[in-house]
Amino acid sequence: MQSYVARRALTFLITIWLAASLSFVTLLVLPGNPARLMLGVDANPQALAALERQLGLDAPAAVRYGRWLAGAVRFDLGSSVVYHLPVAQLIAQRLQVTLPLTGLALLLATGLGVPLGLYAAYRRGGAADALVSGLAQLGMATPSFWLGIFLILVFAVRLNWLPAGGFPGWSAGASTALRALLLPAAALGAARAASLTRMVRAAALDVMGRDFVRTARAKGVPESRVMRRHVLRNALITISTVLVLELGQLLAGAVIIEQVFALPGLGSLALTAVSARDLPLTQGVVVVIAGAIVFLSFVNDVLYAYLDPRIRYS
Amino acid sequence: MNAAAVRWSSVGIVGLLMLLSLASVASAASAPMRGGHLVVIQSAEPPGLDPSATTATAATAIVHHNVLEGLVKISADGSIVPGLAETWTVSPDATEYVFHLRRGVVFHDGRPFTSADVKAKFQRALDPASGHTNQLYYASIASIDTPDDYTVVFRMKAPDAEFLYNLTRPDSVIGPAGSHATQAAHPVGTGPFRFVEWVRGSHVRLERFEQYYDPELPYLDGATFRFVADANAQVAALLAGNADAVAGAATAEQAMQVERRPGFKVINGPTTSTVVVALNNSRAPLNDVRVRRAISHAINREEIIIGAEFGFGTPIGSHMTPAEPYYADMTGVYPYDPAKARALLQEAGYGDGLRLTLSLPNQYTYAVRAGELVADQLRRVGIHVDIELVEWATWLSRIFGEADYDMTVIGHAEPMDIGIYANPGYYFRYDGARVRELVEVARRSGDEDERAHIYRQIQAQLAEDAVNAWLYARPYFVLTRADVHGWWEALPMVITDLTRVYIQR
Repeated sequence: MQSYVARRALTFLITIWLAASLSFVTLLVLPGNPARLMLGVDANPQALAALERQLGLDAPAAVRYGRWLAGAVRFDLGSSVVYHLPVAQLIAQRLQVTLPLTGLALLLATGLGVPLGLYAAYRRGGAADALVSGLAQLGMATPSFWLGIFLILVFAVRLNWLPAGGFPGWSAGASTALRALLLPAAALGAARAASLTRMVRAAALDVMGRDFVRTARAKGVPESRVMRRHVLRNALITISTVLVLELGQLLAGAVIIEQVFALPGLGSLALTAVSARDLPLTQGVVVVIAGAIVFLSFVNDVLYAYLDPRIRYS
Repeated sequence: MNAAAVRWSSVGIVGLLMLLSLASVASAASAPMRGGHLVVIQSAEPPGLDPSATTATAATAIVHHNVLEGLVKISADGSIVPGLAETWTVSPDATEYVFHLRRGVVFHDGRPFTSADVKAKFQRALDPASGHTNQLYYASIASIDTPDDYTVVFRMKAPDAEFLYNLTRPDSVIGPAGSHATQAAHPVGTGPFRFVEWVRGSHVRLERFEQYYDPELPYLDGATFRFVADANAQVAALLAGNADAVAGAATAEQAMQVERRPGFKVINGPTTSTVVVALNNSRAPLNDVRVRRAISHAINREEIIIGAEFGFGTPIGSHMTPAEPYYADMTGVYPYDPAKARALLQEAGYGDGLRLTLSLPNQYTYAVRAGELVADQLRRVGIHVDIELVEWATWLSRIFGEADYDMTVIGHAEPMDIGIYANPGYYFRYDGARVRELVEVARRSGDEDERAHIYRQIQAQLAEDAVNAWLYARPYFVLTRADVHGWWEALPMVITDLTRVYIQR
């Protein structure tokens, strides 16, 4: 187990290093420089050179990369070029929006997807199954930004129940802040709920065809207990894997949803960073997102062992 | 005000007020109500809030006039009015400018405003290592003297009749001496509103400055500029009552969406944004004036204004808009004439057609739409156009910085910027000796009639050389709740001036 953890930790570090280096090279290859973006159209060459020096952009790429890496190993992600603030501080602020947003969306996706998937499997072939499967198909085909706009028009503009976008901050009170996240979480979570429904249905159907389920039924175990104890428990392995993948999707989807709802989250920060060619900020965001995904897949592996005693790591 | 100052103001009034008959601060019959907090939506978040460190209009729109002020200000009708200077005199040959500062003005941090702050600001503007924006505007300053706390004397190296106008620009705002390092994150000025907070990615909040030198102003208790990039989200926030106004880059479609709704209104006025099909004059075949003229003849401006801006916008034929003083109508130089365009191409040796790339900045919808129409119109005369969408950072660096392009479409928002054609290194790569000479003469001339005459000649010469294909002056839209009053009805400079805005509930 120890050597397993060590191996996983090494993979973790290498993945993050690769992701950060890749984003560095990408930004290097992309045309554009932050000094010119800041000084804009009539910038004279001296002022441009001065600002580049001030921002540390005049050093060769290798030196800048070295500087960033040296800082990163000491958990110092550097300072944002456009915002003049520590990258870690900016990311921490944005996580206060993105984490609850993805959390809520995941809650919605699981809360809808798991029971609906199980129900559809239970009623396979029937009208209820067709309805659930049809809705899931529709949910997966609906782009999240479109659903976002639709939800805004209905719940914010027409009914005036919820705000149309923006985030008041947690200082405005938990309920006010959560209200601002409801519509975006619904728009973000809907497609994930739909895909989860299909996955759960498929996994449950697979388990329901197994011998032990037949045996349980033959013993006269009530159907609800069969579904709960035997089917759900065994389908959980597939579901947990899917959930981790869904989380990755949620983080990626947040980039778009945060734009539609004007939320100051990690996704919009990533967009700002790239369009402003803010290298330290881009790398900081990439490291955090890559780290989160690698970490989640590790958690998933550990969960496997817990859910299925037959799985052991050595 | 002395004679020179009056003359300067009258330029604006004569040149503008006639054209923009509506362009004055909208004043309701009843007295403005005090109080209330206004939420304004703007598309882009600025990289910083110091207009002397970034030229982003997202920054100047928020802070210029509201938080930070200069010696003089531009007013909604385009005239120059007192700012931190109460009066000023300009020597007849435009080599000496004397400003008499307002007394009793304090910065938002409580420090008194004196001539030392003015001197420190312009010394920084002259220092090439300071990273100050648009240093060209101040290049003719020879010395800055401060005989007392409330007098500043600028002596020029050469006559510069444009200096006063340049002092109204956002780059010319004045903060406390020695504060420039912190201005980008926390601007301190003398304006009617003081900066309170900037929640990155979300909003900037301003509050009424109780010690503003005009005790009657501002009317509002405060204002929040919220950043919402998505056009649908902007309108939704306004209609849902989460915001009071959508300012800055509101579009015609948004305007049409809001106009029909009770309880809301749309302000539509002129801007100084010159939309051009910029041509790389140094590159074959665009270095051939016949090809450039053919392009101008091939373009149907009316069709583009309808397609790109739903019919809002004024056709232009040279690099000036009707909202600027000295405007001359040059739209008749190249009327829409596809046959003529084909003939010119034939004459230049491109009778069998030619191929050009049109690079469009993808963040500006109007530019992309106008560009697509231009491409189609050019195809009709035998110019095959490849459209390439570029992102803003790429546009600035590759097209603007290195002139690595054939054609592009962009709006030049800066007012009175025709001087860019005197710089052969500018991305049009236009090298015209006569225009260079005329721009220099205009800069040195203090005589209004002469200046108007010279600027007319510059516009005519640019049209004659078909440096670019000028399309139209962009319209300006502000969407607000019906109870919001006092908004600027024209945009002579990119400012969201809230000094006289009030809510009548």
